[in-house]
Amino acid sequence: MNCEEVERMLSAYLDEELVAEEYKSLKKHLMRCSRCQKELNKLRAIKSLMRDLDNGFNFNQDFKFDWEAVEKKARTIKKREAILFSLAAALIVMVLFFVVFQEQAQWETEVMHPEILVNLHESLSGNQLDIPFKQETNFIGTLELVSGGR
Amino acid sequence: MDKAEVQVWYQGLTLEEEKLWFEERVKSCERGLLRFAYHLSGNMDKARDLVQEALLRAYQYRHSYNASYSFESWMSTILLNVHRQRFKKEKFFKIFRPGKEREDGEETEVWDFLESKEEGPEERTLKREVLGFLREAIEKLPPQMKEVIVLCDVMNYSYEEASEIIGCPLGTVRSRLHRARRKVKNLVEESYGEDFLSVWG
Repeated sequence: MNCEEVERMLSAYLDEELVAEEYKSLKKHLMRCSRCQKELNKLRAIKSLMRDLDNGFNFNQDFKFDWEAVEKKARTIKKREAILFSLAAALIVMVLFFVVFQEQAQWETEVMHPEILVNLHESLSGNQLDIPFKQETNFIGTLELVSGGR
Repeated sequence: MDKAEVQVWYQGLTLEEEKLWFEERVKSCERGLLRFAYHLSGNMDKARDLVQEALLRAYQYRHSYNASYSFESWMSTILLNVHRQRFKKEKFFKIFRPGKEREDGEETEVWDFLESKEEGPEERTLKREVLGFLREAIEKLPPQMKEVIVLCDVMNYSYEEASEIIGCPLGTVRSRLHRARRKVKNLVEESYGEDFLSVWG
């Protein structure tokens, strides 16, 4: 084992998390290598200081599992979900309404416009029969003609 | 995991009994959870909030708990996930308010550390300073290294427990922990000199 390999395993050695074989050969190396021994001591110091971080804080905080808060939050989440669901549903209805309304408006502009109806009527009657155009009475007849009597 | 291994704990219990069962388990580990949350977030207010949210989530998904595992580990995993999500969110919002590292009214001091009677006032002051420095050093670590060093070194969990909580193999815990310790060691040496740790040890 060289120093580089040992260096990578020092932490696990310190935590006694090495398998027996690794532990044995690492220990052997440490007995004759002062550089790795020094490195191990530094890591040991870090580990010990880290533990002091936990020991050093006062955790006698007045913390209690607050059922009321948990239930309140659960209710809020449910309420929020219901509101979001309603909003989404309203949005879908609005979009559908808008699409249908647009279709209707487009149909009225393209087909129901008096000028277009007059043109349609004239072109269908061949402009020669001199049939007077009355929007009210001829409208349905013209549509029937256009749609093939459906 | 094998389906047969799953131990269902809630079978035959009423909702009230389930609530009671959950509350008892929580009581046994709430201090541990609070410590874990504190070391992850570095702030007691955030820690309380984190634990409360983890408890809420755990209660909502209580039926997914497998009683053949430790309840505290299960809760710690949930807490860690909540922390990861919050961390990502905070990181994202930090883009919009650069330079604001600490939030208003943020409380940082919960020091009441156990001082040895053998230590003189100078030693105690130095220790306090070094521990404060270590806190900051942990904050500077990448999230994955921070999680491992908090679990294994600060909280003294075994590699196996840490791997169960984090959800990664033992070898990964081992290498992350080593890299984290080396990084902290380098930071200490940069600030306090190369021989500081040898003398301290």
